[in-house]
Amino acid sequence: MAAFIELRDISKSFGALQAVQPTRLTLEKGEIFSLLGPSGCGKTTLLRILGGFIEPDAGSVIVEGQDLTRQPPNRRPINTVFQNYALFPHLTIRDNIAFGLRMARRPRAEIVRETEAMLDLIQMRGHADKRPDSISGGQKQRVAIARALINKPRLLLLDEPLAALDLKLRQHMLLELERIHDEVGTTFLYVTHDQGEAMGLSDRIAVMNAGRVEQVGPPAAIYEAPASRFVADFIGDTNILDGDVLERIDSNYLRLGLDDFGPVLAWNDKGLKPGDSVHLSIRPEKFTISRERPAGDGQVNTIRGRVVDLIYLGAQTKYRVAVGERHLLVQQQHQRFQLDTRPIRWDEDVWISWHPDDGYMILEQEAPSGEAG
Amino acid sequence: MKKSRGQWILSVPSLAWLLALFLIPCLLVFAVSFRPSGPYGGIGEGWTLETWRSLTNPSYPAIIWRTLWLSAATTVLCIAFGLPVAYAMARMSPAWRNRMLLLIILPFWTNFLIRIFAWRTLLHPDGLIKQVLVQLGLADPNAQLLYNSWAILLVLVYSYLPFSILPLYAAAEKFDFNLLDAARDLGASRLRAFFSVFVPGVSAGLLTTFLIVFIPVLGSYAIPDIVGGPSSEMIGNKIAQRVFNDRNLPHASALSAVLALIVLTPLLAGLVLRRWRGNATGGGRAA
Repeated sequence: MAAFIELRDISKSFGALQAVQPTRLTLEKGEIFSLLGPSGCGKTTLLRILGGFIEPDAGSVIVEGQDLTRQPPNRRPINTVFQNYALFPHLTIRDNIAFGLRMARRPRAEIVRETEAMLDLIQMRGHADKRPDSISGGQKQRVAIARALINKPRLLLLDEPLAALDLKLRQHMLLELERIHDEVGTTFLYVTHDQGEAMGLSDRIAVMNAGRVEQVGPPAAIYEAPASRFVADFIGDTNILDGDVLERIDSNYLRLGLDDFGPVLAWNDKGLKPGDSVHLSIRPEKFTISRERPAGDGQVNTIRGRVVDLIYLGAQTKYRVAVGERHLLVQQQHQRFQLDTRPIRWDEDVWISWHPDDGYMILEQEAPSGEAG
Repeated sequence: MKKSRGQWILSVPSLAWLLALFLIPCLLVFAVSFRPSGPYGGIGEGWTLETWRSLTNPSYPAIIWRTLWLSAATTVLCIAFGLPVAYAMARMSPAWRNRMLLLIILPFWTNFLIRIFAWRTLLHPDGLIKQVLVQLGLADPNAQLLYNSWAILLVLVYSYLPFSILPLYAAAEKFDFNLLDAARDLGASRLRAFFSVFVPGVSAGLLTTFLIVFIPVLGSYAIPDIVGGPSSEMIGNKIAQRVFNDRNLPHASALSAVLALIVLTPLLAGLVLRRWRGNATGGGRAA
């Protein structure tokens, strides 16, 4: 079955810079799909290729089975919410929203009806006759979304739409975006460098780095099972421990020799053999920190360390624990009333432990040589 | 007015200058038009409306009309040619922009009158342009390129084009070209995006261009004098004639007053329009 929207082996260079390496992506109808990556990773180039503002060197853009690669922006059923809104300063809010229908030369009655419906959708009816420079950033954002949705695009592109807003407004706008998405059901392609936005909003995320898509998957899969060292590092905090396989315990578990920590158990989801080298990624919240050695049945990994730094955040505490030469990030959620406990302090010797299932093994990357790891 | 007293004092010298050397002379000219003319070129005693009555001479409406349409056509053509240049320059790299700016102001290094005489040479029956056009079969060998309104229009557009490009470029340089992407994204063709977003976006520049092309052209005198003939005079030529040939200062003053009124009308219209636009956009942008 053909995908709803498909990028087939798209690639693009600017001079010597390979902005997008050959990339293949499919979007499903109605989903919110995020392109997430640091600046310069090629996500905006991909977005502009989808919008029709950049022609790819190779590959094609297919929407509902139709090849749109050579179509100019005005002939694509795709609309964009631009990073700095790009509202027309000489038009009122109402005329900004109606712009797309005017360009399509729709009948007057339809333009009025659809524009009013959009004003309701974004709850801006009271500001319809103002000009863009007399409304707030969050309001501009909503107008930009309404303006882009009025032509009922197959795909809505959002280019870092919240980047210009302050933190509080950003969180509010995320909910607002979700509400609008629920109401209109349009497929959203959301470009951002903010993992929080991507994780909170998306059905699926593509993590990009240096022009390549490193991993595509739902937020939980990206977080828990990163496909590469880059993804593990970029999404949230993690500890990456290098080592190699010592022995297979059974079909499920193996023993790893970590460079600074000695042998630990790990869940063998990759079918590794002794001698294979591996990175073990353990998220800070997967650790348990305690004064006494946990009474494991030998099925729990334990390491001795010393607290060198801690930050109490109310709901949780973040620790930095020195183990030999290495520092591990440990995060402990406080489920019990803290005043009844004797909290762990600086310079205390502690045990940190984790279940073998909670680490995630990342293989040595087969990344092209010359790429910064 | 929230200006402090100190700031007012700073503007006193320039206000005094304008009052003494601009406003008062203008009013004097206006006053002279109500005096009779003396027999030997001077200004007579007493007050009269005779000069103003003589302006109903049927040759004047034709000259005023020609002056108006030549000024309007020059302004329209200067904007039509200037807009694409301004657009292209705003999208160039800074190095090319500077080279283009240099090219645009390069003609000013040659004296204005010399450049107009150069046009007279080019348009002359034995001149280069005429010869080339005849060779190409585009012009009749007997066609007259010089001494008509079209020659005036051509040289006016040539002379005032830089004055239209510069303000248009200044406005285009501040224009957010993402807006064109947005218009294209929303279904506008390149041409429609240009007219529905770029042109309104540089409206401040358009207004400036209108003021600094239309008004000086209304009063132009040298160009119609050199490349135009007696049948294509503009109001400026008539004023000069009255002063230098007829030595009839009241008559020249009355014509000057008419011209001043014609100039003031679009100027005031421009100011009103600007104020209205300023209010409509919340007064955000300076023109």
